[in-house]
Formats: sequence, structure tokens, C-alpha cells
Amino acid sequence: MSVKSALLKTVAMPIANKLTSRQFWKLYRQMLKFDQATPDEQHALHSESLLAILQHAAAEVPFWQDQFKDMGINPLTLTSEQSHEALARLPITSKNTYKDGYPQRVTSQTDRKGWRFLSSSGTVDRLTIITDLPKRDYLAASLIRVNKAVTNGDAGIKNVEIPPQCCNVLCQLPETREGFADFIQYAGQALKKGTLRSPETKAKLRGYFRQIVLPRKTLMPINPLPKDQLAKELDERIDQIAKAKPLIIRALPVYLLWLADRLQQRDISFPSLQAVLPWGGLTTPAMIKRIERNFHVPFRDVYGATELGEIAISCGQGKGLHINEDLYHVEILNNNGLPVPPGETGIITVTDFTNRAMPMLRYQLGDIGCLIKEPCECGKTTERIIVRGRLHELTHYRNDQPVTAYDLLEMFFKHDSIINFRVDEQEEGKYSAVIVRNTKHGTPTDNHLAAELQALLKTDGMPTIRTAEFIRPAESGKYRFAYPLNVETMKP
Amino acid sequence: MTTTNTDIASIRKEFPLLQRKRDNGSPFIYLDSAATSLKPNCVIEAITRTLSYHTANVHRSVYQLGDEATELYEGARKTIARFIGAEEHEIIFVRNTTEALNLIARSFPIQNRIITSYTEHHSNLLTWNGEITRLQPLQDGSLDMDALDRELARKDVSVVTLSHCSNVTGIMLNAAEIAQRVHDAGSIFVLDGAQSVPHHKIDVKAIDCDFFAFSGHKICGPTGIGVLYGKAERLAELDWYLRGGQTVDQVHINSVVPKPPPWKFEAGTPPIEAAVGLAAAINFLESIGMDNIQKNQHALVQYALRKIKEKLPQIGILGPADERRIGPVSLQIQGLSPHVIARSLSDGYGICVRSGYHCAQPLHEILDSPPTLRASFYLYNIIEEIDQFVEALKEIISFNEHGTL
Repeated sequence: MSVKSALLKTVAMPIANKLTSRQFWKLYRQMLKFDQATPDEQHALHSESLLAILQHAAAEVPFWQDQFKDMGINPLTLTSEQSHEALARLPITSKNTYKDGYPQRVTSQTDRKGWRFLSSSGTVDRLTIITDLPKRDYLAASLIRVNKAVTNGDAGIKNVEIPPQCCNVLCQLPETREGFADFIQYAGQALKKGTLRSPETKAKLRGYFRQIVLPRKTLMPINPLPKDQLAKELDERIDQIAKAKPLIIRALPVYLLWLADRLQQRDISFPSLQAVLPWGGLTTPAMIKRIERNFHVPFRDVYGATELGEIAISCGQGKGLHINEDLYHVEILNNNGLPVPPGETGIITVTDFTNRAMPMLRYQLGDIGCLIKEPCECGKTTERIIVRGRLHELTHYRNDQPVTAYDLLEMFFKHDSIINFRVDEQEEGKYSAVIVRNTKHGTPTDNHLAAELQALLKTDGMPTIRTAEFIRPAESGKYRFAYPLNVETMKP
Repeated sequence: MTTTNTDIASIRKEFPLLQRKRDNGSPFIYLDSAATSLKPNCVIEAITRTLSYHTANVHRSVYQLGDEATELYEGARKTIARFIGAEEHEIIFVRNTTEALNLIARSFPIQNRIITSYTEHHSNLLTWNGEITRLQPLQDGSLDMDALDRELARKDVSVVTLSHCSNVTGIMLNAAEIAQRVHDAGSIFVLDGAQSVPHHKIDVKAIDCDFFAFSGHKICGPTGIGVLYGKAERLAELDWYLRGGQTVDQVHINSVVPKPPPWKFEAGTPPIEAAVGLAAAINFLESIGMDNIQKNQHALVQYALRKIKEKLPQIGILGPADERRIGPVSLQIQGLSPHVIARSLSDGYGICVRSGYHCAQPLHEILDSPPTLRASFYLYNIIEEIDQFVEALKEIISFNEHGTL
């Protein structure tokens, strides 16, 4: 542990906890306690937290008041054990649910102290939610929990992030505050001006403090470019990462793949690095293998969303990602809103226990996945989730088994020569794929890939394969890997 | 005709988008006309009619449909010329203001310095090559006339190029006065009219600018059509920009004879139906009267400024908050991302406003301003919509940190 980290943990954080309204360090400690609790204790806390958010939503949020009333449920009379049954009777929600009632009907009618807006990234298809201070503390504490899980350190762990979209022309780059020195300088200036206690100063100082505890540097997304130009752009990012000396890199998985390939070509590594994590997107075992081989550090998968937080994280040993059951309840449902058996793919549906300003219950983010209920090799007993992609990338059903983005990613990215792809359904049951290779004439051949894709999709005709210099991402900056003609829904 | 409440109601009926309901049954409130305006039925119908019954290529199709298409296209040019007080041969059809400015920047023989300002839209900021002097605005975002005079006094300026009305601060220049100073110094004056044409009666001869550029889609016309006006003698000085079909009178093995302006600058098949749509838009505006539109705009902007100052005194306004402002109203909301507010206004209230730097990032930097939230109005907006915007904004802010910024 570094001196800075030790000082933060033993002095700064406890003082901040006592003197300010920020409680993320305390929440982080609670999370660690939960992680070490017995399965019974974990289950009890999970059910209590679920009951608490149901009771709060029913009492304070007009939209949920109506839903509980319509269902004839009175959460005040429920026990924590009955909370799951009550939740299962509530309607499924989506982005549109919260947009339609925004902001009055979907937010708590109690005091709005400390409320703030939080928006998912990108300029289109965003969801803006409202958070209270505790929710933001939970979000910060969850990030420290991730740091702890992947580096064994907690406060002051340097992150470099490469998100899929980072807008500078329309808006502003994310904060580039440096941390401790800026904190002291700003506080000193505010003291001189007599504005130390103003809300604006406090908000700024909170921002600086967060940067000290969770230092991050955000780099611009990696543009899709022809090979030579892409190599140049990757080299720029590599230089920026090397300069930042991070312990963690968090980037869109295809960026990690491209960076990994480039690191291998240049035979370099980042000495300070301890782990790489995804910034959104999907990863499969084949991708992880390529990423870990060339970054020379473990890849640890994280499943989360800006509007919710860090929902699950992989332990690095067993399959899937452990759900943070102290903060979320995750259901996997079919198209009729009924649970599917463990191991079967369905729609991921999340209930967030921690946002009391704008409770999000049975919220479907648009992802599909499956649950693993049995204990993990790592010894943890919390449920695990395998995320299999976006619902709109569900290509079709093959012998009643869905073919998902996960399957396609695994098929294409197991070949080191492929750095991007997209599968289009041209006519019903007739597919074509565009691939991007990192070499001019690599293996496998197009015919080989076509045969593999045919085997995966079980189609009558052979798919066509075309090579492109690059593929453009969607408006969000993320890549969409499958464009089925009709978006499949999960089978009832 | 004056714009009474009844007139506004009948004007609003002409815009299909204002009749559209959101999923929850409420209407949209469109306050982003500085980005692009809504389109009235007559424009939609003119375009549909052209595509449905008059499809043919212009100028060279020797048959009835070709004659009709040419007549419609050249008729549009006449309408546009009349609209801004120009001769029809002084009107060049381009895609938009940006392309018009690029045409001048690439084709005009610029020998000396170019003067522009930091308040410009990126399209008048990034377009020019050569030795460029960019004037710093005054603190309220207005043009520093003394600085302009100082630069002109050096007598080494080829071109002065400025926005007639800022798309951020909403300030309108006294273009005629500037034109005189520029000409006295022996320079030429380019005016970016993208934000002034929608609201003001423009007379390019009275202003005496050398070039004037604007976009069709900001005056109720379709996208993909813009206009470059140039004095005939200035157009004659422009080098050939895009070469190809329609721009030449004769092509021989060893020689080419270009057409005279404006056709010399309209390479390839032009946007015929868009030109017709633009002419329909102009006829629509003229039927209401540009004076009425100007008065209405002034009333809306002044009402919005008053209302914002009254209801949201903690919000900053970028640029002047007085009579000088005739264009968009850009708001500085410290501590809150304008994108989050714009998204919240859209999700919760169906209000469409712009957020960010509005393609004028250097201006924001110079005025030390964060990205802003911009509301802009047009002839179809009513004060009730401004009331709803201000109330919604107030409510959204109340959700943030207990109403503090």
C-alpha cells in the first residue's frame, strides 16, 4: 500500500466521513462486510433491502403508489421474506417508463436535498435519472469495491478510462482535475474570498475529493480507421496510458482488443498496470484470452449501467459475474415477465435498492443473460450472471436456443486476425458478415469463416463474408455486432 | 397584416409538427429554430408537387417536363432574389451557409488579411485560409468596433467576414455601417446571414455587402438548399469552384467556356425540389410579412429575457439581456450540464432546446462560459410556450441540490 493510499484510508476518509455529508467510505466498508458475511446473513440483508425500497417507493413515488394500489399490495404489511413475491407482481419497467413520468411522477415526493441529475453517456438515447447524495455515495463506494476486488487496494487507485463516447465539441471533456494539489489550491482561494461555505465551493471541493479517492483520467475514444491510421491512434493512446501510469484501464472491450493487439505488435506493456476492465460492452472467453495475453494482467469483467451502478463483477475464477446482492436484485425473465430457469437466457431485469430519489424497480436495460445459482469456485455463494448481449442483437433461435451477440463475438474474436465484425440478416434466414482484419491476408479464410457462421446460425445457405477497412460504431460510440431483420423477443 | 393571436393560431395550424402529440398526448414545444425551423404545409406540398408532377432535369431537357422543372427552379431564384433585394443572376444555389462561405473562401482572390471575429459560428471561423485576424468580442459578446477600425486602418485587409446575427449571443450587427467602413478601407464585406434572414427583412443593396450567405432550412424551407448572394462584379471575380456539367457553355478538346455566374457555380444536377420548397417558404413568410415576423420575434425574445430574469434570477445569460438581443437566448446554468437539462426538458415536458457550444466553442472560451442551454424562437412560437419552458426549467433546477445551482 502506498503512503498516499494509507493516509487516505486512515486519516482523510474517516475525517471526511465524520465532517461531511459524504458517506461513501462507510458504505464501502459495509459492502466489504457484506462480501464477507455468511450466505444466510447475505440473504437476510438482501430481502430487507428489497422490502425497504418497495416500502419507500409505495409511500413516496406517485408512479409506484399507483402500481402498488392496482396490484392490491400494501408493502407496509409485508415481511422481508414476502418482498420477492410482491416485487414479482409489479410491472416491468424500461427507459420509457421513467421518461414518461419524468420527473414528478417517478421521483420521491420527500425532501429533494442533495438531488442531482445523472445521465448516461452519449448525445442520443440517453436516460437522465435523478440521484440523491446516498445514491452517489453508493456509486462511488461501488467503484472503490471494484478497485478492491481487482487490485486489493481501495482509495487512490489510478484509473484510465476510454469510453465509447466522449464529447468535446458539443459539450466538454470530463473533469481533468488533478486531485490533492488542486483541492488545496481551490480551498485556499475560497478561504481567501470567503466563499468556503458556499454551495458551489462545497460542490467543487467534493469533486476534487472524489478525484483524490477515485483518480481517473479519461481519454478520447478510439476512432474506427484504416489499419495504418488506427495503429497511429492506438500508439497515441498507449503513450497517454503509459504517461498516466494507471493501475486499472477501463475501456470499451473492442478498444481493449485493439490495444492488446498493438501492445503485442510493439512488444510493450504497462508496468504499473494490475487489471483491465470493460467500459460497457460485452466480452467473451476468446476476447478475454487475447486481452490478458497481451496486457499481461487479468481482465475482470464488470456489468453495470450509468443509471444503476456496478451490478456485478467477476471473481476471476468461476464462470459469470457475482451480483452485488446488497445493492441489486436481478431477475432473468421471459417475454411474459416470468422467470426463466437458471442457465436459460432471458431478459435481465434489475431492481436497484439504493436510489431513493428515483426508485428503479424491475427495470429492463435491454440486455439478455442467464443466471448461475450454484456456488462459485471462489467460495462465494451470491448468484452469478452471464451477460449475453443486447436484446436487439439476438439474431435468431437455433433449435430453440438463442444465438446472441455473445455467441457471435466468441466465434469471430477467437481468430487473432479479426479485430471487428458485423453480421447482417439480408433476407429472412440469409446472412452476411463484414469483417475487419488486422493483416491483409490472414487466416482463417473467408470461406472458413462463412462455414463457421453457417454452423453457428444453422442456416441453409452459406453466409457471405466481406472484408472492410473499418466499421463505423453506432451513435453511442459502441459497436453493434448483429443486425437481425426482426428483433427477436425472448420466447414465452 | 399584423400578428394577432388569431393570426398566430392560424400560422401554427400550418405546421404539422405542432399538431403532433407525444406518447403521453401532450404537444411538442419547439424552441430550437436557430438550429433549424419547422416546415409549413405549403413547403411540404410544393416539394411533393414538384417530385410528383414535374420531375425532370433542369436547363437541358428539351421536353415539356424539362421546361417546367427549369421554370420552377429559375422561378425560385427570382423569388429569392426579390426576397433579399438582389438581381436573380446574383443568386447562387448551394447546400447551406457553410458551403456558401467555403465557396467564397476557396474562390475569391484574397491577396491580404482576412478579418473575422471569435463570435463566429465554426462555419465562418474554420473556413478561411491565409493571414487571419480574429477580433475579440467585448465582454457582452458584441463586436469591438474600435478594434475593427484599428485593423481596417492598416489598409491591408482583403476581406471582412462576420455573422449578421450571433447564434449564441443573439446580437445583430449594424451591417450597413460596417459595410461602409469596410469599403472605405478598400476591402470587401462578407455577411453570414444564417441567423438574421429568418427574422429580418434583408436588403442586400441597402446593406451594401459584397456577399451574403444563408440557409433555406432556417426559414421554413427544406434542408440541402442554401443561398450565396454576390454582387455581380464580385461574382465575376470568383474562380471556378466545382467544375462539371451545368457549369459550362462549351467544352472542346482543348478549351472550355464556362457559363456566366450564377450557373458557373452550380455544378451537377441541382436540388430542384429543395429550391422550389425554399421559394414556397419565402412566399409563406412574405404572406405573413417580414415586419410582422420581426416584431413577433422581438416580442418573444424580450418576453423570454424578462421571464427568465424574473423567475430564474440565478441563471446567467450569455450576451446582452436587453433590447440589443434579437436572436437566440443562451443560458449559463452553473453546476448543471446543459445536456442533462435539455434531455430532462425533452423527457418530462416535450420541450426541444439546444445544449452545448452551438458550434461557437471559441466564443464560450473567450467569455469563460461553460456550455449553454439555448432557446430560440420563430414565427410559430407563442408566449405560453416560453412560460412553459421557464416553469419547466425552474422545476428541473429545483430537482438539483434542493434548487441550488
